Amino acid sequence: MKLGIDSPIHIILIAALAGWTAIMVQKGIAIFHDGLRHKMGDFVSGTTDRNDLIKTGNSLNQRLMIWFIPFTLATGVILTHILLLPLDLLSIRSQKWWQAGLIGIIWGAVISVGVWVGHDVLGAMPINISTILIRSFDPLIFGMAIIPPVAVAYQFGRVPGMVSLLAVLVGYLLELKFAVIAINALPMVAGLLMVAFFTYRAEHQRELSGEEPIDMSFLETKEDQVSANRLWFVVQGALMATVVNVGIFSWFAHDMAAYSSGFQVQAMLAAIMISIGFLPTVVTSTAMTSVSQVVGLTFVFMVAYIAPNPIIAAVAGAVVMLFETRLLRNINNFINQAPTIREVGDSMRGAFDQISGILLMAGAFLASEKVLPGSGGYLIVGGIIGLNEMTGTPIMRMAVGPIAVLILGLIANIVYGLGVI
Amino acid sequence: MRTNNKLILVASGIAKGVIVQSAKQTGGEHVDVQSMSDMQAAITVQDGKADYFIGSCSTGQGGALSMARAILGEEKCVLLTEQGRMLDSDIIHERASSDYRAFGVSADLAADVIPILVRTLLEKHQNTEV
Repeated sequence: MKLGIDSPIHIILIAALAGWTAIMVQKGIAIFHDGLRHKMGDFVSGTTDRNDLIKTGNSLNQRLMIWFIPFTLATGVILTHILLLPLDLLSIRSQKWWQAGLIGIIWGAVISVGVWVGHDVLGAMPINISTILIRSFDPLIFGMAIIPPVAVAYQFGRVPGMVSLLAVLVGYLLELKFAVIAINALPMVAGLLMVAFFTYRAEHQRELSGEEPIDMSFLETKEDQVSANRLWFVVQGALMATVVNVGIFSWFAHDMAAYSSGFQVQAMLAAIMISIGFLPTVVTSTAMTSVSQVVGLTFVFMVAYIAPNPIIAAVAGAVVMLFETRLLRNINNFINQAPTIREVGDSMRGAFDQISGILLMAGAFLASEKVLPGSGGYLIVGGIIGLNEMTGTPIMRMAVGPIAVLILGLIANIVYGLGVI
Repeated sequence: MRTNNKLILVASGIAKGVIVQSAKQTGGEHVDVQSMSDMQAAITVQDGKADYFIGSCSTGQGGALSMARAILGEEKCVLLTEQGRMLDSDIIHERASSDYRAFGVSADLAADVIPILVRTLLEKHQNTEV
């Protein structure tokens, strides 16, 4: 069971990752925020200057980082967006690479300490908010297998979606009966296989119908520049895989929740699922701008979760990122000649976004039941979620569940502390 | 493109389904809207086979317009949600009536923004009809 950040070594590891990342961002080798990559590409090729880059960075929505804080404080595991989004902004402002490195190290240390303290504080309260939050992740952990079938439905229609859901259920039954792989794993494998099947089928039909993929050759691509940076990624891969494997850093709430509950295989599958969603846009934007994604082509996460120990994880991570840089052109070409893959990526991200919100909101209600007498927790959680829905969702749907739980926890502690209840 | 006088839209991104539904609801038979990957959508608009690109992503900033910016150029792209919040319908109306060909929205707000956008685009489209 992974407990998150709880030692100085963890702080050093995160600081190292942040420092290395900061240098890569400062030099224009990689960036985390996908919305900033195009502008960074302009900066690297000399078409625009650093001030323009900074201005664009400022205009981007930073709220994502704030909305994900409850996830991180619940488990003590740092999520990518919390560490890396602000790091982007800090690094692009640095005029020199070593300044960025220094700021990165400090930032990594600050975040680590903050999460360590915050996590402990939440857990030390009379009403343990950390426990309640973790309980609220249950529907996400045990329900995330429905995301691939929903993605199939979103892309290919209701019937394929239902067939995929059926496959997931069959996977669940088989796992229950025969303990094939690991808990929560087989349903997800089934769902992902369905995604692959329907994608292949659609692509095959497209070929049969004689429809040519749109000719992308007019777009100049810069894979060679990325390959030239591969040594940077070898180190990045090692660092990132290590912190993920140790259990102090995760990509999204899904893999984090699975891993910190001890479901290693499921964490890997969650990472695969998310990778499907992000791979097309990351690959294409990297190839077009020569600026990579800070997490590479996202394959590092799945190997890090499945590695049996941090050393193997580090080696695997380094190797994976090295191969990512060398195979970029191949992967890009592959995606270009199979346009369905790109669309499926969008659908997977769409399903991921909406369904995760639903699962986490459900979890918020379930976890809040016993917090106040007479299930009063429902009023607060329901109230926050309801207000959010009807006033333009100022809080991202994916985040509103845990935020509502956090607020409920704080209110409960105050109310009990004052002896009101 | 103008043969049947319909407004041709392409929708992409994680809320493409919502955008398509909402655009069809608003525009009915005056609108022809399809969903595709952002790359394909941007190229379709550039080739003149579609009038406008509507993109979406989690925050409405990151991926919604990145491909459109790359292919159509930054000056043709504009966001209709900012920092995850909806803009005033006046501002949306104004932006939709200008020269932009690509619009970006945050996924959570797509259903609210698209009606205003599509109505304005239809007005604009009808005004340029001979």
